[in-house]
Amino acid sequence: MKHVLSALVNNTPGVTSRVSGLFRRRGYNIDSFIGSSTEDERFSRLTIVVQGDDIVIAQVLSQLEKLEDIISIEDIRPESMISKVLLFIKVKAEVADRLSIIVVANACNARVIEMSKDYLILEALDTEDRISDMIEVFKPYGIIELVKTGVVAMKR
Amino acid sequence: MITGADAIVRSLENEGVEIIFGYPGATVCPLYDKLSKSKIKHILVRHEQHAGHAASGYARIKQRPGVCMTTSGPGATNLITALGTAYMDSIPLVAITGQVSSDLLGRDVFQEADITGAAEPFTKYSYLVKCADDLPRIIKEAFHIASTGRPGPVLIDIPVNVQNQKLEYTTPGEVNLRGYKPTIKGHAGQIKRICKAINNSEKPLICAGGGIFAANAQKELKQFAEMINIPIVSTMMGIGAVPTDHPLYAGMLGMHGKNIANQAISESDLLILIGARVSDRAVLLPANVGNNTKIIHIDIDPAEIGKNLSTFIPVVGDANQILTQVMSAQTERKSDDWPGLLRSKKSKIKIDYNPRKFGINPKGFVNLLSGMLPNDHIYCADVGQNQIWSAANCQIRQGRFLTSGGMGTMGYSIPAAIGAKLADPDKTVVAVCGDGAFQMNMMELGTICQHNVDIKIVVMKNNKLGLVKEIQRNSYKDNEIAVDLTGSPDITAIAKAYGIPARSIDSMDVAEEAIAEMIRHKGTYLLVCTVDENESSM
Ligand SMILES: Cc1ncc(C[n+]2csc(CCOP(=O)(O)OP(=O)(O)O)c2C)c(N)n1
Repeated sequence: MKHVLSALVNNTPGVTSRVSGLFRRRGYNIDSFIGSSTEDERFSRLTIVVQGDDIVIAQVLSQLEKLEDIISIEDIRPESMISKVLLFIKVKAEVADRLSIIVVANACNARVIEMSKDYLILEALDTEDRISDMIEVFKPYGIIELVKTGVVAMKR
Repeated sequence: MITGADAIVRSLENEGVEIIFGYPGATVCPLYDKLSKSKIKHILVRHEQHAGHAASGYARIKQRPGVCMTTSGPGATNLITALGTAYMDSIPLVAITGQVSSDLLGRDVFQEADITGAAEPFTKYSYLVKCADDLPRIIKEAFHIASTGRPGPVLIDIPVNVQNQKLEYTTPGEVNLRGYKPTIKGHAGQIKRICKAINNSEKPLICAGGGIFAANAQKELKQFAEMINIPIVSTMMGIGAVPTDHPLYAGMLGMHGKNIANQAISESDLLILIGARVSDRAVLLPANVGNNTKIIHIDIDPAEIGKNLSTFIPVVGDANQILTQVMSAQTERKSDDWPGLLRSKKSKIKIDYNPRKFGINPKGFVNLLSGMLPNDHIYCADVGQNQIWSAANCQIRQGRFLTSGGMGTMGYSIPAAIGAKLADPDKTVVAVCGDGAFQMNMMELGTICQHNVDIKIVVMKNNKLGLVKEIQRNSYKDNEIAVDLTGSPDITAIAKAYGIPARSIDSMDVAEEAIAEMIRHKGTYLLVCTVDENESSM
C-alpha cells in the first residue's frame, strides 16, 4: 500500500541520507521525497511517499523515530490530510493540435505558462491521482518532458 | 530454467573470470555449490580483507577487475577495508557478498549487515539484487563500471534466496547506462593548447600518477617524454610508470620523495599532471609548485581536475589516448638544458649504503634487493617506514611497484603479492613489510602454502611500529607510546611452522648472499631483516 510519511527533522547535513538509508536497507524504492525548511529554521519537513507492506512500514517508522535527528514522524492517512503535487509538462503542439490542447488544459485546471512554435509548457497543481490522470490525457499529443514535485502533505 | 547461483557463475565465466578470492559462509553456500562445478579457480584466503587485497593485486597486474566473494554480516564487513583501499587507489574490483533472504532484509536477523549502505563511501557503485532475473545484467554492468572510466570497486550484494530462485538465462546485450559515459578521447582544442603550452615552455615537467597504469599508458608516456625530451617525476602510485633508471626520470616527489623531484616541481614552468591526484602527500604544499608554473591536468575523472591544484589546461580523457593524440600533433623537441640539469643532479645522488652499527641498512637493502631481482619483478610494498624506504630506493625497471598509496593500509603487501603472482605466474613477486604489518596478515602464509603460490617475503623487523614511533620522536617529544611490539613471535619460526624456508639477517655483509639464496629458492621464502628502531624514514 502507499504511505505518506511526514517527518519533522533537525535541519542538519546527513539527515536525508539517514532517513532514506532505512528504506534502502529494506530494498524499498521511495516514490517521492521532499524536504523543505519550515516556520522554525532549526527544523525541516520531510514528506516521503513509499509503497510497502503495512507492517514493514510501521517497523521502519519506529526505527526512524529512534533516530536522533527526527523530532516527530507520522504515517498520515489519506482522509486526514490535504496533499498536492505540482506538475510541469512540455507537450508537442503542432498548429493543428494547439487549440485542442488548450481546451483540455482548461478542463483539467492546468495553465499554459510558455509557448513556442513546437510545444506548450503547462503547469498544474492538484492531487496525485488527478495529476496522473492528466498525464494520460496529454500522452496522445506527445509528451516531450515532464517533471513533478513529490507529494507535499499537511494534516488537517 | 537455472538457479540464480548458476546464473552468477555463468555470468562470471562470460566475463572471463579465472580466479575468485573468497571466504564462504551460509549465505553464499548456493553460489559456492555451483562454483565447484565451474572452471573458475577459488582461492580460499584466511581473512576476508585479504580476499579484497589479493583481488586488488590481481587486478593491477591482469589489467581487469579482480573478483572477491564473502558471506553476509561479518564476512562482508571484514571486506570493507579492502574496498576502501581499492577505491582510494582506483583499482577495479567486483566484490560479491551473500546477504540474508530478501524477505528478512532490515530485520537485523542473524548475520545481516547493511553492506551496500556501509560500503557506500568506498564503492564506485553497488547493487542489492532483488530478483534473479536481474543477475546477468547486473554482473555485466558491474564489470563494465569497475573497469571503465576511473576504475574502482563495485559491490554486488545477493540475498541467499535470490541465489536459489529460478530464471531463464539470457545473455545480456551491450551495457548502456544513461548516466555513465566516461570521456575517453581528449578534446581537440585542448590538445592544441597543450602543444602550444609545451612549445612555449622552457622547463616542462611531467608528473605521472597511478592513472598511467589504469590507462595502460606506460609505453606512450615513455615515447612522449623521449620524443619531446621532457623530464618526469612520479607520485608514489606512479612509480614504475617509466623505468626508475630512465635518463628522463627524476624520482618520486612529495613528502617522502626525492629532493630533486620536489625542486624540479618548483622550478618548472609547465607541469603536466597525468593521472595523478596530487594529494597532500604528493605535493607538500601546493605552494611548492612555483608561482609561475602553469599546470596541464590530464585525468579521466573530471572531478579530480582542479581539486588540489588550480589548472591552466584541463583535459578529460584516457591518458593513453591523450598522449597518442598529443604525439600525433606537431610539437617541437625541447633542448637538453633542463633535462640535462636534472640528469646531472640525479647522477650525483648516492643511495645510502653505509653500514649501520646495528642491523641492516634498509635503504641500501631494498636498492640491492630490487637490483638483484629480475628486471620485470613485481615489488609489493607495505605501509610504514618500510614503504618509504622502498618507494625512495627501489629500482623498478620493467616491473611494477604495488602499494596502498591512498589509504595507506597496513597488511596490503602479502595478499596483494599473492594476487599479483596468480595474475602473472612467470614474474618474480616480492612483498616487503614491517613486523607490525606482518602480524596483520601473516595468516595468509596458509593461503600461500595451500595454493602453492611462490612469492618472496621480506620482513623489516625493528620490533616497533616504526613510522608511528618516528612521529612520536619528532612531534611528541619522544613520548613513545603503544608502538612497542614486544611479545612478537620469532618470525622465521612462524614461517617454518608453515613449512616455508626462512632466514634472519642482521648485517649488510650477508645481505647480497641472503638475497641470492632467496631468489634461487624455488617457492616461497621469507627473509627477516633486523633494522635499528631509530632508523629514520628519509
Ligand atoms: C591498518 C592500519 N592501522 C594503522 C595504521 C597506522 N600506521 C601507519 S604506519 C604504522 C606502523 C607500521 O609498523 P610496521 O608494520 O612495523 O612498519 P615500520 O613502520 O616499522 O616499517 C602504523 C601503525 C595504518 N597505516 N594502517
